[in-house]
Amino acid sequence: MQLDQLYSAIRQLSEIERALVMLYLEDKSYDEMEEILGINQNNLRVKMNRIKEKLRKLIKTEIWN
Amino acid sequence: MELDQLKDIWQKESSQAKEDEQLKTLMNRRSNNPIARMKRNLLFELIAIIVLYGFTIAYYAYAFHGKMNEVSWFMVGIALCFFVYYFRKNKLLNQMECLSCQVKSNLQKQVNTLEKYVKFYLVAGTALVPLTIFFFSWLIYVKSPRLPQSVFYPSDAYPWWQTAIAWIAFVGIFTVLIYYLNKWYVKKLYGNHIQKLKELLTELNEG
Repeated sequence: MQLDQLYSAIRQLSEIERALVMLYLEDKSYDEMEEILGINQNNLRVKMNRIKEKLRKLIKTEIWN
Repeated sequence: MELDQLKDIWQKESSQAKEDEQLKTLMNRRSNNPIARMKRNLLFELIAIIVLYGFTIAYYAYAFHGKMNEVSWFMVGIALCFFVYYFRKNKLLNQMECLSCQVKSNLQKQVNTLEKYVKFYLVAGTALVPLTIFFFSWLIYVKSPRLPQSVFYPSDAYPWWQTAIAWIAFVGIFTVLIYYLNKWYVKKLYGNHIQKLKELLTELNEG
């Protein structure tokens, strides 16, 4: 159930955010992500934190709904 | 559940989880991405050109005992130009899907080139209108045993300046109309997808 909610929340992310999540789930390091995407590591870390926060909010909204 | 917990689950069941249907639904299917759509539209155009031009070229090559085969050659010329355009654009779209390239720099580099191609396509498609009108008018002028009594052809009935104005007005109005029609068509086939790629680039650039 919780897993489904998480998947559903991920589906609501933008394409770039989903790509980042995929790389994260595949256990890519920030070095590897930087190499693949061409975004510097600071930006990547900021983006990942924002994505995690966004997912938390989306899951909360789903639970409430 | 947090993303880190999901990551742990993925690590534990890596082989099973990655084969799972969820993996496919998490990401958009490949055929839905803007580049794949543009490739599909380009292929659709190629097929349309081959069918329509092929039929017209064959028809004018044999109809009227081959007396109008200039039309076939004219269309062969346009079709060849389109084939060159097709292969160059297809090559560019393939380069954009390069798996070993850095996503951001590759997209940045190719989106500008792609925009130039599409602009060229719009200008060339519009320029083709006056060219086609002049070609067919010339053909009628050369091939007709008796020219139609019209302001568009030199005759004693109309002074030369009236003929000139008639041509400028006719070609001008048609070209402007086709320009806007082409603009709508090109935007529908490529413009919206280029816009989407630009939005992705902006998102990648955002800190």
